[in-house]
Amino acid sequence: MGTVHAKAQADNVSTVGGLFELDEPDTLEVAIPKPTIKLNGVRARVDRVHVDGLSRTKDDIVRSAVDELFHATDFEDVILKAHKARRSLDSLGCFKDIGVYIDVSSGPGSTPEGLEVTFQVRELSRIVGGINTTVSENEGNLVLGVRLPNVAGRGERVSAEYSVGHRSSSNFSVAATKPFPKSALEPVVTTSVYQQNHEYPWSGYRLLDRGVLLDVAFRTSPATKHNLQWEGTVRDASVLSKTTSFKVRESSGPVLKSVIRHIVTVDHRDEAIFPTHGTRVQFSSELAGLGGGVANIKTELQAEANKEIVPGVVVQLTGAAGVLHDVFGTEIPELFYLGGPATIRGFQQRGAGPHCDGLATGGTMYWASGLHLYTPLPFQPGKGGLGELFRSHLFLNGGCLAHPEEKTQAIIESLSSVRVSCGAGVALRLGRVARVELNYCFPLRAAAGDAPAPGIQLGVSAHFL
Amino acid sequence: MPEMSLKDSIITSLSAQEPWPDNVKLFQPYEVEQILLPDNASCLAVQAFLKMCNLPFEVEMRWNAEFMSPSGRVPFIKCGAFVVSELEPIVQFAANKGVSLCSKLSTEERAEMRAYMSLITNVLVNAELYISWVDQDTYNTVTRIRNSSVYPWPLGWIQTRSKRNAVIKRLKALHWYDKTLEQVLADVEQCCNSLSQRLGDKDYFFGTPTELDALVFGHVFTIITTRLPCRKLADTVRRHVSLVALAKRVDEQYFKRA
Amino acid sequence: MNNIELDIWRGEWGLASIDIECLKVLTYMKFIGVPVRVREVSNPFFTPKGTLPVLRDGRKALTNFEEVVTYLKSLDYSTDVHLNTKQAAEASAFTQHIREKLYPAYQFAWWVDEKNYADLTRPTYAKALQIPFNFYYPSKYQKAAKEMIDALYGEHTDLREIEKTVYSEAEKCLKTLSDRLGESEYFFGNRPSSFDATVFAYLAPLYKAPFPNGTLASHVKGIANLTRFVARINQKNFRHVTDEYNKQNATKQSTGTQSDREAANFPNQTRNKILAAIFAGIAMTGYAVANGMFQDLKEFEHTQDYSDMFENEADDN
Repeated sequence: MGTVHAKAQADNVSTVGGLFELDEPDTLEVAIPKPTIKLNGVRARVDRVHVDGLSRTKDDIVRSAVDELFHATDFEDVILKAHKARRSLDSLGCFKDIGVYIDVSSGPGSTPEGLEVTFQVRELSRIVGGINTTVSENEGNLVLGVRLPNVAGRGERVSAEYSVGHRSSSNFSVAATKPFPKSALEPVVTTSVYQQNHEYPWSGYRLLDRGVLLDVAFRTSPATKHNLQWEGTVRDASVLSKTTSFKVRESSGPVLKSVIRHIVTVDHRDEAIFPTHGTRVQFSSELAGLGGGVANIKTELQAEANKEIVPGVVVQLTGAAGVLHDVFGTEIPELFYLGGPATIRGFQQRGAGPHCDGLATGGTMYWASGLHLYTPLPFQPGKGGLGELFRSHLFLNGGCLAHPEEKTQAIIESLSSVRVSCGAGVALRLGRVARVELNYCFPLRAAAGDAPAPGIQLGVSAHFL
Repeated sequence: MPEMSLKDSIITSLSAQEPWPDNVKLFQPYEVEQILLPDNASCLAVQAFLKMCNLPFEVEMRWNAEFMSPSGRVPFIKCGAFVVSELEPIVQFAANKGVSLCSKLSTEERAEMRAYMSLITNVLVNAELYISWVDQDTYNTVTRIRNSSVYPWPLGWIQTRSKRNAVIKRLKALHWYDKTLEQVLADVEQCCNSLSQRLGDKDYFFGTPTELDALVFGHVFTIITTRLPCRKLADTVRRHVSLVALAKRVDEQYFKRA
Repeated sequence: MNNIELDIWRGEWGLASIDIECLKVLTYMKFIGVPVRVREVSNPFFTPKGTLPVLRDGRKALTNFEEVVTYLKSLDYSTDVHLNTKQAAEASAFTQHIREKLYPAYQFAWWVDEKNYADLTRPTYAKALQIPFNFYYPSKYQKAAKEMIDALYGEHTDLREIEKTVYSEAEKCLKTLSDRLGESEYFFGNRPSSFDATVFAYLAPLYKAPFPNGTLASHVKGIANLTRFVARINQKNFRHVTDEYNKQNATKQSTGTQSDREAANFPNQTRNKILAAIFAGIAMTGYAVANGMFQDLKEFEHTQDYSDMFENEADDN
């Protein structure tokens, strides 16, 4: 949070407690009445707003962020609006430190109740670099990135990243982002060009994706985020070894895919990693086929609901479902896969679903769900400190993945061969975005051909079922 | 004796135990709109060989045949769980199952046969690649269009360019890229000369049809029946009457085409 | 009388030249018996194509074996007249066969195999070239060899797999050659031809050069009739080269053991070490002086004296 300084009329408020405020306050015989100021009773208006420290940021976006201040009517309003202005300046992504100073206005043009608000900002440097790690689908990546924040003065960003993981190599992407804070819904437009080289040993192929992604992100409410995307990629699939199954070999070769995608996320949880209450729903739909060699329609729904039944103990219910309708050209890399430490625990990665020669070949429809119980570690070691990062975790996962013909009877039949697993383990929070889970799993029910993995399973991911 | 690696000997003994299955498939690019001169020659040669051995097979055409192939070159056959590509490995594979066309030849004749097959691989194949990808006329009017016909528009352009660069790199490494068209045709002429000399006026190179006849048929037949803007290659080959006669003979006997 | 000059790479280990093309041309000329002045060149920079051999006759400059054979034939020097057309066709087919199967393996063993390149090829070519070309040409040739291997066997990703494939193809080719040669003296009758020159040029280095990783070489040495073939041609045409090499080798051996040979390469080891230590000492001292460390030392000495005085006073108290 920034600092808010306010010089109000000094009252006889005596501070007690010494330099570090650790001493016991001296007991006074007479209780001095502490004067209270009702902030919303003090009439005030903002005469002037200064923003210091701008060099390349353009005036108009700053003006639109602080405009609200001029509509404040009393002191409390001024402080609240100052906070809001500070937040919207922060969200422009142009500044490093923002300090807010409120002072009585003086000088020409000042009114008796007038206030001057000064925002002291420090702009981000022209070029920012960094090395960090990301986590996705049970693997970690090392990312080297270079970012040029606030390139043209209105919050635009250009970033280039190169990342290496233990199952992928030489991925890079170059992205340009431009926010439009003045338009309705404040959309953010991102264009990026990328190349990804990723191995999928459980299905026996390697993908080399090169493409262009155009993304428009906007919020219709504080909790609802929409993404509208167009992606054009050339996907080159090749088998990993000479002995890979022929079915996977048939998908080799370069394919051009042009996709329009819409993702809507409604997130009312209080926190992303160990939420205590709230729900999250994400619905994504994809249409491929306007140009390119692949045409299909893909929809996917993910939902999560949390409730704290006893302080510290959280019950979580999750669910996911997806449907893919193929028109032509859909190959193995496009299909759904189920199983693994981040979806149905107790199965190998991609281990629940149709297999051919021991390799997962994917399905066109799936549903999956999970029931979880999170409690703090037993005996609560390290309470208040390191122990807060851990949770113990009991789960029950179930789901089904199928590749049926498109007749209702066949669909219902194939989706009813449910895989179930349960188990217990420990979950560790990684920062605010990812989680590590170490579980002991019992696959209770598996279909023939699946690849269950009873016993200890380690999973690292940003999103778990 | 050439030493076989342990893996080769295991594969040999495993595959020798099973006879030739019934559902062998030969994969190649689309014949009418996609396949190019060098690939067509190789595919015809393998087909001729399999027919000469009386081994049943089915032809399946796929747009991504060259990407499916384990060596990146067509044709390839799928025989049970094995995938074998290109003529020489397929000949070896059939020999492991006890089917061979050169079992009656003496060791010297077999050595000669392998030498002549190398001659064709080194000269005719590279000449075909040169004509298809380096000769500007042929590239622009035939190769480019045929190669990109199976891809949607931007991908076709990207793919053809990258394939052309790969072919040129290969020709450069083999010192064929710097040759002029006249030098290439001279090499083809010399190669066909050697082959004609060896064939003489016999029906087949060694009396009975062998893989050398299949290979000669594949290349000669393709060259004389493919219409290209540059007619010189076909004219050079057509001048060698005995080779043309051999090609026609194999075609009539094994492919029953008009 | 024609004034034919031939520029080749120098020879080593009893070979007339370390390079295949040069050896091919040399052997062929020995077969014919054409008078030629041979020069060992240490700088291929001024040659028409940047490679050796170069055969010069007046204004003509020919750079590869086929051109040389054709040219010499035009001058009525040829050993191939005794080949009928059928044999000539066969010879050309077999040449292509060697080029397709044996040449990649040869290039692999010479240039692509890392151990061989570092321990054998590079030092040999570096010795044959003058500075500064000994930095440039070996890596240029290595790059060309790697590109060729990549073009032919590029679909394999593992170098060991390529090595296995390349060598097994070469072994099959060698068997074919051995079968074709049988028990005859030369490949086509009892007179040598250009094809015999080619085969000799490929095989002789495999026999003579001390490969650290000699898979191909040991295989060749195991084929009896090819070994006899190479020895026969060597005996008839390159006896002086072998004799000279043997003489050199004998003198080298008699002058000492391994450490002596090392000492021969680095004659002044101890002297160098002492010089290096002195140089390092001077450098460090100079740095210290430049940074005023000796000043501090002097000050430190002074303070020692003062503190002695104080200590005495303190002791008094």
